[in-house]
Amino acid sequence: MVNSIVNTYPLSSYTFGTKEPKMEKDTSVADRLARMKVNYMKEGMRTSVEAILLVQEHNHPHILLLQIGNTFCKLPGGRLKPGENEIEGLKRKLSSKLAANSPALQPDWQIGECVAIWWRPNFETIMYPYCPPHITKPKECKKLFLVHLSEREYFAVPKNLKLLAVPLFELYDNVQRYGPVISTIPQQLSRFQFNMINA
Amino acid sequence: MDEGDGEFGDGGDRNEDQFLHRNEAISAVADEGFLGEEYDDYEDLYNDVNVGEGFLQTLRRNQEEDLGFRTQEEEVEVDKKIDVSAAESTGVSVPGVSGEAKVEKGGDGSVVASRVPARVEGYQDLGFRGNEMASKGSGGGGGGGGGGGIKVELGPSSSSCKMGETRGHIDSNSSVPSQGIGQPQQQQQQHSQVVGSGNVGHDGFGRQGGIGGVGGNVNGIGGSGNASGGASGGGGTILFVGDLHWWTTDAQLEAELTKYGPVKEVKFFDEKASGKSKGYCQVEFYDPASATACKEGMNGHIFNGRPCVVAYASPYSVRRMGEAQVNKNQQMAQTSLSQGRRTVGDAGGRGGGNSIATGGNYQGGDGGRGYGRGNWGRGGAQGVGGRGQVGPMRGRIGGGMGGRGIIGNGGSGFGQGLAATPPLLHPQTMMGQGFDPSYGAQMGRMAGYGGFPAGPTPPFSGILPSFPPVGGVGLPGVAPHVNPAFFGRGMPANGMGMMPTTGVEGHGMGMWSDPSAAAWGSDEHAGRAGESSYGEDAASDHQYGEVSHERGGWSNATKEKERAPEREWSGASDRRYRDDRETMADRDMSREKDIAHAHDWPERRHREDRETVRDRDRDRDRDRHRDRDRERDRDRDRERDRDRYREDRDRYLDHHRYRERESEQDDEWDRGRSRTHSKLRLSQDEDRRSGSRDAEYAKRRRPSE
Repeated sequence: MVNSIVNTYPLSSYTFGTKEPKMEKDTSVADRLARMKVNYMKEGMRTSVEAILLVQEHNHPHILLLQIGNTFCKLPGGRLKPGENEIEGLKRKLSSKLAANSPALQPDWQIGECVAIWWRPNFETIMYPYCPPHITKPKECKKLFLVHLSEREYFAVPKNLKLLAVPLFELYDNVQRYGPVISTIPQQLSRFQFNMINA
Repeated sequence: MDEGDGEFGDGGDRNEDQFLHRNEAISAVADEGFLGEEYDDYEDLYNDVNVGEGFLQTLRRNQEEDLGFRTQEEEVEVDKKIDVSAAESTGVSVPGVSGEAKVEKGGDGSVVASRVPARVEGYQDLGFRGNEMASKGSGGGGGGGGGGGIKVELGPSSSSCKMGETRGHIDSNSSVPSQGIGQPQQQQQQHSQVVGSGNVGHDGFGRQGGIGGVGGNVNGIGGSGNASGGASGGGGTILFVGDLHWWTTDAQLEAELTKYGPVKEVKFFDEKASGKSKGYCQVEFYDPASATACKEGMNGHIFNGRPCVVAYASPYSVRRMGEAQVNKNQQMAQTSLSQGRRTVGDAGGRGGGNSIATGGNYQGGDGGRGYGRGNWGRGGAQGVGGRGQVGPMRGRIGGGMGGRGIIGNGGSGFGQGLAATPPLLHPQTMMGQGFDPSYGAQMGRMAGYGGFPAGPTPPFSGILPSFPPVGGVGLPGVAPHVNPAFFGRGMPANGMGMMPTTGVEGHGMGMWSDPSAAAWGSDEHAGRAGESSYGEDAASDHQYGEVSHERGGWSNATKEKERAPEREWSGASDRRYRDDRETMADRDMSREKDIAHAHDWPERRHREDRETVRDRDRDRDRDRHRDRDRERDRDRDRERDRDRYREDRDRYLDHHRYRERESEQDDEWDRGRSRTHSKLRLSQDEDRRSGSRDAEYAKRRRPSE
């Protein structure tokens, strides 16, 4: 089922709170790659899922990004456990990153379709939207899912992160700031029709 | 180099690096001659280096033994190729061998005969690397061979990272404890082992030999594919496998490799920009015997209809051999291009995805528009080669190609959809390069076609200055007399900007790779300008009180406007020079990407220093540059870049203060800071500013005002 219409609500219809910090597991790129290698030996190719959460401002879609430090932005999501279902895993990650801790306030995440898949051919930071032809054993596969937010949500953001709503035009053609995965999201979303609902 | 050399003062390293790169370019073809060259270079370098605690002691000891065993060694070396230069190397290397000879002869004469020459070979290879490495090699040999009392510590290497790799490589093969650190017990054990198996110890030192022969020896291998050097350097576990199709998979390769023994690792080399295979890889076996068997058995094996090349290598030399292969392929593409006047795509498909625009442009150029440049065709071919060479920089090159397309279109017919072509240009491709006077002529002609100057300017989002200064499109290697490393004008101004993105990876903040930073770097200004407006939309900014990046955004916006006019004013030649250096450095950076980050650090630091000097030299307005630094500094977290910019900023601040002070302080500053200040003084008075370094140097000599 292809659902090409996405309802987006203004930022003001959402409430943001804080929660305890969620520190990165790796202190450096090298650490991260080393850990990736270890996990690869144990579990095989890593599958990670990330969520594209959209809001609208001024009738333009904005994507919610978590900002680490002052510069590095990433999508909410993370690594799946071995054998875990993608959708379930993404819901788990979203709750872990963005939902309040109390069980009463857990959002009901509506996971939409997968809009992009990126591949990591080696234990390096580079990813491509395809698996290069000479690589038969990619190290990671990252899937981006569109998430349909309901009109009202409460997000609890870890204290060490910032949640930003970044307009699509800011991401477009801005590889050096956001990287190839995030900066090409506008292209992935261009086929969708956005229903900008005002408060 | 004394500071009186002016800009070249700190170029001790730089010159070496340049020479090194030059070496790399040549390395594909040369063997012995090249060997000698490099050895001479390093001999000077390492002559007086005292490395490790026991270095001097060892030296003495080795020299003693040298006297005794030279003759013996020569007896043993019957049929082995011996590099004359290496043989004449320091006494250190030889005694190491003879030390072994002595031990071995005591043990088992017949076994020794076969083994020692290989070791000799190995150490000679090391020897050409310089005293230091030779001593280490000999120390290792002494240590491994049950060394007759020789204890040379293979101490922390202060030589190039190659040595580090050597050591790392030794580590990887645990069967041979040839760390070179004197371990008498192990020596003895190994001695017995060696006598028994004949392989282990032998291979250990052979491996060192193979590794030691990094620069020259293996390049010889790379050149011929099966040079005698390779054969005699046998015993390594790392192989270079090249001449593969880009679609030959790692699975196909491994299926073939496992026939020769268990494979430890297969590492393919890809183009960073696209992920496509470069057609060569580094294969590491656990067992040197497997490596040897594979080299002999698999060399020439057909993968997907194409015979591969297998050769001994070290992690370092694999890259060089690969680049040699890539260069060779590009040259083939170029020759067929210039001969057949075909498009790149026809010429062997080496251009790959880049050929599309190239082909179009080439034909445009070839249409005989009377560009007034007889070597246009040749330039085109070189452009192709240049592009392939700097494959990782694809983004920029693509932009450059788009620019050429503009020339082609403009030339072929005015009003022929000129408006359409400019948007094709990637914003980072700077037209205002001051690139080539003949380009200016072409552009002028195009301007004559009517309305062209006005046309493309708007789409370039204000980065493109008024048309006349536009020297040409930033296509590397188009004109033969232009340095292929020359890139779009956007480069130099963004040279500093690019650094942060390269630094990103080092700090775990960025996801994106370095070479793409070259392509992406110049976008940062646009990005930052946009950031300020987007900053207000940030959801939790108000809540969490994060304002810092907004601040950065605002200043960025203003600085960007400032920067644009700055580019207009700067002298064309100055920019070109800086572009040249920086893009060359960038290419190096991207090349270095495959090495672990640890190795990147000294490389990058060094390159930053180079760029820093160039930046200082080129800027006329210190304030503007300082502000730009400061704003960049504020804008980014990345420590290394912050350090670098702080350095720059401090220097500029110093200059600023210096300007205000009286000349009584000049002499102090002169002595302390040398050329930067001299350049500053010169830049203050624009009349005196000259493009010639000699003139500047001479002026510096004169008393300050």
